[in-house]
Amino acid sequence: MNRNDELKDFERRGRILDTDNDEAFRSFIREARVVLEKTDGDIADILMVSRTTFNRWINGKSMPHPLMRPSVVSRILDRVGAKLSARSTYAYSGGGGGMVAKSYGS
Amino acid sequence: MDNEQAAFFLLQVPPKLADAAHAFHSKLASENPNLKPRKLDEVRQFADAGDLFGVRLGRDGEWVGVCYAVYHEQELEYEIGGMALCEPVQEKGVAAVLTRTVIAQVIATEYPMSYTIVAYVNPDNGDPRPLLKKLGFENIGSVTVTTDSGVMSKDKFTLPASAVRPLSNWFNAFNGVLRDQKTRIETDLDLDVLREVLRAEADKVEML
Repeated sequence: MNRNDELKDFERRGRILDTDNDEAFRSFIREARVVLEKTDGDIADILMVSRTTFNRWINGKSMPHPLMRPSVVSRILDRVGAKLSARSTYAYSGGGGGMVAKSYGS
Repeated sequence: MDNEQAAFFLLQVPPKLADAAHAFHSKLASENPNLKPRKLDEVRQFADAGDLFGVRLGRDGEWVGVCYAVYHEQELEYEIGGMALCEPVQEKGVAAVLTRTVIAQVIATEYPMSYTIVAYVNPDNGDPRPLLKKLGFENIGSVTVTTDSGVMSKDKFTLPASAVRPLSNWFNAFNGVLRDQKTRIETDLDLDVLREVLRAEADKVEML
């Protein structure tokens, strides 16, 4: 799976995620770190929670309130969407490695 | 224009603003013996962990208040503390909004509530007591606390479950305007989510 497909797959799973399922939710936010290539602190900032809190979530010591989870997922998906857009823009401007034909020399 | 007042901005202090928050805290701590002076490294750690909250005049303006919410794993406690507020805003209700919002944020992000929300106050410090009482905190007596300054006696306040309903009611009525009914206070924290969470938790407490 290439990077774009990985991001799109994660985005698709996020949209149908059962946020009442503790384990599925925890797994999703753990994976967000990898997919977004962010540290725990970065993800905590994105979610506007303390790093301590985020660590407690992923370690199973606490969770966001069930009514807060959709907004947590939404914030993550916003970042995934932004990343996909940035990649798309980058690719079409010639930086993505092959989507735009380049000519070299005469 | 009397009705146009500069808005305050309530924020979770990011690490890049820790030094500025510390400078504000230090100035107030030098004038108030009840405010424990925190070292720069401590404030940086609070901000780094996302435990530090503050209020500024607008998004980028002067600091007017800071406080922290720190989890103590051994005691299963969330301590709200370090409330420092500059004098010109002390009658506007900024501390009440800040403290309520921090408590609501803790309740929304740390589920289930398997911890106690607490505050520790110096025995001779009367300043925070009216606010703590208004928020529903109960004084459960004197405790001995070990700090880097030595062993100290503190009055311990805990927030009972029954305080969640009044907190929820307050958030439902809160329209982003302070006590004077004209000064706005804004935040990036999702107040609608906090309202929903508090309502649900208050219902749950009352069903028990």
